[in-house]
Amino acid sequence: MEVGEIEGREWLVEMDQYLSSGVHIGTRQKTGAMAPFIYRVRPDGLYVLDVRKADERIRAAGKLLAKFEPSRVVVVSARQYGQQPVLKFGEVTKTIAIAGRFIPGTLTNPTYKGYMEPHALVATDPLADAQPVSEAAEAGIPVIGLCDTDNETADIDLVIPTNNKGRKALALVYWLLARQVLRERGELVPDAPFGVSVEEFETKPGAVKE
Amino acid sequence: MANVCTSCNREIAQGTRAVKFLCPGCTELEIWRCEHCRKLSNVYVCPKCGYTGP
Repeated sequence: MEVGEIEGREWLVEMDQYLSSGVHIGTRQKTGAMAPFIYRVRPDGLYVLDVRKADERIRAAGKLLAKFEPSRVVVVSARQYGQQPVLKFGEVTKTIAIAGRFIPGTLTNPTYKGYMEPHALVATDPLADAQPVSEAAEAGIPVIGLCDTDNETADIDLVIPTNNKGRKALALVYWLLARQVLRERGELVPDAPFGVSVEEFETKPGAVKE
Repeated sequence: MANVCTSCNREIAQGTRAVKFLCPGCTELEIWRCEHCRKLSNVYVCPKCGYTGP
C-alpha cells in the first residue's frame, strides 16, 4: 500500500494533517463500544484512535448526509470548541446548526415554538449532547456521532471515531465532513478546491475559556 | 410486511423507538435498527455491500 492511500483509495487529506490536528488523540479511558476503533495504547496510558477508520467513516457520513434535504439535518454541539465548527458547517452545507445549550423538547415537544422534525442529527459529543441524542432516539431520527475513546455509542447509528475535544481536531473533522457532503451532493467537483479553509472552522484560541 | 431489525432479525413493533436510514456504505438499502439494538450498540451489516456499523 502506498503512502497517502487506503487500500488503493486516496485519503481525504494527508495523514500528516490528521496527525498534526490531533484527530487520533484519544483519552485515558476506553469503552467497549469504542474498542474496535482504537489503534494502540501509548505507554502513558493514552488510547490512540485509528485514523484510517476515521477517514472511512467521514466518507460514509458525508455520503449519508448528502441523501437528506439540507434543511432537515441538524448539527449540535454543546461543547465550546465544537460551536464554531458546527456553525460554519451549517453555513457551508445549509444545514441547521445548534451551538450551545440544546433546549429540551426541540425534537419531541410540538407545542414548543422552536420544535423541529429533522431527518438526521449530527452530535459532536454523545456525552455532552446527551439531550439531543436521546430526543433523536425517541423521535426515530438517525444519529451520527463524533465519538472519542471514552464515549458510549448507545443510540448512535454511525460512529465517527475522532478526538472530539480538540480545537483543531473538531475543525478538521467538520471541514472534511462539509467538503464530503458537498462533493456527494454534486455541488463541489472532486479534487476541486473547497474555497473554505480549515482555519475558518476553528475556534480562535483565547475566544473560549474552558 | 413488518419491518425487521437488520441486527437481530426480529420484527419491529409499531410505536417503538426504532430507526431507519440508508446504508452509509452503498446508500441503496435501508437499515432498520430496533430500540434494543440501538441501546446496546449491536452491530449491523448491510446485506448488499457488507458495510458494518455503527
